[in-house]
Amino acid sequence: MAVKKQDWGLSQRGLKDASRHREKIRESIQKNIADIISDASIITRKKGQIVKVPIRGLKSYRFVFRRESSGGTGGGQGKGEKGDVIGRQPIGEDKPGQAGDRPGVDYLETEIDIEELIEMMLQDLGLPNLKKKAFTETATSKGWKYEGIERTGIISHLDKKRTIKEAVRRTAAFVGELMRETGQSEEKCRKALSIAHGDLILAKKMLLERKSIKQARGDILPLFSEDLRYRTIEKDIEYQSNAVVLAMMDVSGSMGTMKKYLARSFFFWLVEFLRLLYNQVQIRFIAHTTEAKLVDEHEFFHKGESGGTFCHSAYDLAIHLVETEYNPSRWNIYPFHFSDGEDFEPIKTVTSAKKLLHLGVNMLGYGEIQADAYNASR
Amino acid sequence: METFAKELHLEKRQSKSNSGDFETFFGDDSNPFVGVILKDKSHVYLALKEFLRKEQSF
Repeated sequence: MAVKKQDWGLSQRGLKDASRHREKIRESIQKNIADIISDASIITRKKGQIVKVPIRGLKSYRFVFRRESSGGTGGGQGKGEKGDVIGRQPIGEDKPGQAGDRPGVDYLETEIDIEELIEMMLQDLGLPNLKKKAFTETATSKGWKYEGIERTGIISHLDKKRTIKEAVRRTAAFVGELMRETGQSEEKCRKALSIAHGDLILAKKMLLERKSIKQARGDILPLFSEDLRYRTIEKDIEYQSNAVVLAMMDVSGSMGTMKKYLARSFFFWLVEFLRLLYNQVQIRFIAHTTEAKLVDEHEFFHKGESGGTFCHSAYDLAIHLVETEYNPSRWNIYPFHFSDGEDFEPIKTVTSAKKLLHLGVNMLGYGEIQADAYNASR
Repeated sequence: METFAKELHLEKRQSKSNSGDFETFFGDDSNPFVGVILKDKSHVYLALKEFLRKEQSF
């Protein structure tokens, strides 16, 4: 008799669907990664938090009903074939900046870890194995560490365990020799060695002369100066590769909020990527109009000033920082300057940039933001 | 950017993106410089891409 059992496998199917859904989300993120990484919710996130990213173009299959105005009702008897599209979501034709009268397109939001997003970006960038740069390492002392064992040293470095081991090993060798030469039992040899305070010749003499050793203890371990072992200590040095990003930006009136936002987005991701390469990444903010000054992050991205623009002032301050605080032999230096391209002394700027390059920075970057308000806010 | 390109002898490259042309300027091995022109927020990603690629090539 054959027993037929139908396996619905619902739980497996659920797992498969969930896995497929995750794959779809991943595909969607990878497709729209250029827009997603400049999303405000990501670059303003607190450290360790997961971020929510909008996933457009990912929706479940559903019936789309025809609009009444398009004519026709119910099941048709006409020429329709299997697979024919019977209705489409109307595509919005609203122009940017104008109020629309149609419903918007729904999108899903998914939570993602920033590290996962970085991994996707690395794959997309074609840099799956970002090479660690180690040519500018600094040695930092972590304290002291035990390095080895020696026969001489100071008493505070005495390694008791190893000393006792040495004494046990030597005593065992002496007992073995006494047994071979006198033919006495191990217990007697040990006792004789104990009475003779570890002196092999004296113990041998006692055993050969058959002196009474019954009262002696055989568990006393004589300790000789040759048994002593000392630990040697050395400085524990760790080699670290550090990097500094010198973030320079024109904060004159022409650099609007949206332009600053693009710069902020770039600096955020640059620091995240450099953290993959270096143990420690610092970022210094240099804001400038006609004069440059070191500012904090908030002031850098949120405060603006009126007046003209001398970009060379930022490069000169960067040169000063490199010369005084970030020696290129110990730091990996990445200066990056953002401006809208309006500079009253461009030749001086290039001269200062050349000087910065000659100091030995890893890479000098310049971003000219020509985006208008609409493009940048999209 | 023009002054940088002229004085530092940068090589100009142009690539098409969904939101218009994306222009990059590269220095040679003795001149580790990358210049980018951002016209749209999606260009931030392209700028990062070029910067990291160039950085890894050294």
